[in-house]
Amino acid sequence: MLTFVRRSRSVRVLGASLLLLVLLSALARLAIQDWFIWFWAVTAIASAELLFIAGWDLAAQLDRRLPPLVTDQNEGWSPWAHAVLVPFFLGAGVLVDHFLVH
Amino acid sequence: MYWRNVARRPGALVAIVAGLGGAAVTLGVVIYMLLHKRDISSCAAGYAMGPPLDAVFVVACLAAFAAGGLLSGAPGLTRPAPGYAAGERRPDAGTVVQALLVAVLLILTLLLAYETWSVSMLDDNPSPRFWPITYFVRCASRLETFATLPVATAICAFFGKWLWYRPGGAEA
Repeated sequence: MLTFVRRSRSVRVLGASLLLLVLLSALARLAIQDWFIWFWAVTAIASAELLFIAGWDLAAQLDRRLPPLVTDQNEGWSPWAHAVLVPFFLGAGVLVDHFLVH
Repeated sequence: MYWRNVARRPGALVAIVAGLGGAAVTLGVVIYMLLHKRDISSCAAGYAMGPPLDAVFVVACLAAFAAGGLLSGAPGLTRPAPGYAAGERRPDAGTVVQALLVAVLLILTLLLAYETWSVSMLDDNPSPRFWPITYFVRCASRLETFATLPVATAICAFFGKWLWYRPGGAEA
């Protein structure tokens, strides 16, 4: 699994994106005092990151010299890890939004 | 020829029927709300509906998400996705689909930026001219609760189908 994490470009891009999101969110927190507004700012930053990745991959499809950032490789961890990922973040998002943000 | 191929694929038929049904329900809701205009002055404060109906929405959306995800992998409803060996580059997924993804993410980013800006304006003016998008959603859920519920449920079902990636099942 660790080999896959080191070898997979998608996982490296995911790690770099999360690191960038943490850094930009911390910077945004310095400027935005209200937690509610900061929450929405973080969602906009995350969406902008996804837009950049999707835009890069579109450019990679048009120009084969560019490497795609998202590579579709089914490998590394169990199917259970894949299957619980989205429900976990969905549940966490619902709980945070319902009990903390509101 | 095309429609004959579609008729042989249960998943495509389900998607078409569900899409047409959803469009009909949405159109009906829009016409109903246009014919029965409501006083929205109470929505300016942005209050969401309270308990216990908010719990009904959460439970219905989670159930719809699970149903949408599980049905997408049900035998006979979808075709198996192609498998790729380790390190193999995927074949062209379609530049048009990728361009659509970029367009959707661009719209989403702009909407989230607007939401952030409009929410930040509330401190200076509690009854702003430009409402946050969430205010419209909250307003609809308060004024037309039982019309909003099927729309929210359908959106959650689509999210479950599109976003819940589960390799190793019938789909993968």
